[in-house]
Amino acid sequence: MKLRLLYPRDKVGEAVLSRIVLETQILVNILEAKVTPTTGEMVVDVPVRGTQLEETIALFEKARVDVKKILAVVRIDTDRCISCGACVSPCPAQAIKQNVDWSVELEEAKCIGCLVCVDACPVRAIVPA
Amino acid sequence: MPELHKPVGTMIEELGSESLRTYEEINEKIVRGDAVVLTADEFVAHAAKNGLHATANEVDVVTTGTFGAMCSSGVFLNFGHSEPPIKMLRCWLNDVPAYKGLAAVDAYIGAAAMSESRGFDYGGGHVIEDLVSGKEIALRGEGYGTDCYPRKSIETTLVLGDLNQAILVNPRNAYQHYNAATNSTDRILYTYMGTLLPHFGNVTYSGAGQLSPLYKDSGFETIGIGTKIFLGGGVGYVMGEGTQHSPQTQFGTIMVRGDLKNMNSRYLRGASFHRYGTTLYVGLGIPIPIVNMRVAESAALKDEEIHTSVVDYGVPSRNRPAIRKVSYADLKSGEIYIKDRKSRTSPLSSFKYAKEIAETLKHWIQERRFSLCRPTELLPRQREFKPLQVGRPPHGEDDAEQYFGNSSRGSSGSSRQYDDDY
Repeated sequence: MKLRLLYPRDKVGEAVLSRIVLETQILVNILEAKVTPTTGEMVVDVPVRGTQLEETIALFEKARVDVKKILAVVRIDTDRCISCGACVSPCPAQAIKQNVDWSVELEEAKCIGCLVCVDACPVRAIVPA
Repeated sequence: MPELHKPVGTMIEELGSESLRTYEEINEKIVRGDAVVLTADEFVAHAAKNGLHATANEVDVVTTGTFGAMCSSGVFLNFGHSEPPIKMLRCWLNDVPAYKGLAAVDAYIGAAAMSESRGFDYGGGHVIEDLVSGKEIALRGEGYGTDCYPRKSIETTLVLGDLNQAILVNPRNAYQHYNAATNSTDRILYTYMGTLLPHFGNVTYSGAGQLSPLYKDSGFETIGIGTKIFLGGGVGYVMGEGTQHSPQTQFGTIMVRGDLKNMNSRYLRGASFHRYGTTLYVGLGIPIPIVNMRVAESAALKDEEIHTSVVDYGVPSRNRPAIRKVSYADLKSGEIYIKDRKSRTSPLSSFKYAKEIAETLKHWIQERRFSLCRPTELLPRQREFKPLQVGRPPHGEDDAEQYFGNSSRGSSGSSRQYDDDY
């Protein structure tokens, strides 16, 4: 599950993520990190589900980090998609595939949110979710 | 590519020979409703299973299809005259400049022209898609005013039905086949072959392979001026060779026309390649009459037998190195080896739509709504594909010889230096 973490100002200097990783032993993958004078924002991929996921989210919230689940980073507008495949091979996470009938499908779980596909699509059928 | 003039029996058949069946015989069967029509995919499978001879004797027509980016496409428009009338010198459709070097209210909107306000996001191809979709288009025109055309400017909106003519005329469509593309550099490249990841990170390719209209008649025995085709969802015609037509290397192209008012936006889509420019995806399909064994052999070619080169677009030259040869079957498998690493492949032209077009054309023929036309002149099978020389002075100059020399980039002995622009 991909999560968007928003750190309050006074927590930006604290290694909240590292402490939670050590504590839970979960191999969190950092997809995006942005630190400004007033906030810290991160997009992470936490490779657990169910109760374990909810417990991990609770740990962040206890540290006063705001957590939002990212269900989809991009989506394919099937009304616009022409099934050309231009988005498929540029995807570095191999999250887009073509079925036997060449129709294009996004596997949300694999998406790392790099947005290369959005520009690669010639008919602008891939939009940020 | 099938060998031309291969002897059949003891006779060498002339080009376009109708030894198996004639256009008239085929059209009579179409009218009766018992023409045997297969898509190219079906014909390939049938020939593999039953043998070429049996298949060629049985099947009358093979339908083909392609849906890819065709930048040399556009529409000739006639707006009709305003009151008072204007002779437009410049005009814009939704801020996209159209060519106005024709009569007062004749214009040509090309797929690759781009909006002066929206740039790469909206071009001539998008205007064409919007027109076919029935959307309102903003027309702006400027003229210098004459005694007979006193008006100097005009701004109005119009829809497709308002136009006297809207004729799709595409100077280069339906490439017989095309390159595959990769990138040897260490940065992402944005090209007309899509997004290319660094260090051979991916491979893109274009062309419908065994569904490709021109590849299925590689000998160009049935396609030519007057061939009736599926174009943009309606009926169109081949006008002759397209620009850069290069038959000897299987890079044949055609110029086509059709009435935009009978087309549909499913098969005419405005498109934009990031940091490259705008274009138009065109749906095109050609019925191939199986008139002789050579045509049958060409129509039966399968993806495994249709080859192309993986070309390195990381080299900014008109002569890009070919990294390796592959078949369309290799490309369609989803991954190929480049040097010693596996690279994922993906197409730029839609096989889903190509199949749909071939199927649609098949149904049109089976439903007796579409007959075949014998072309009045076949496509040329020989063309020299010349480059553009930079810095060559006009013919007839006294010291012209010192500029020609041996170098294609201009003479080394000259006092003038020319930079080649890419």
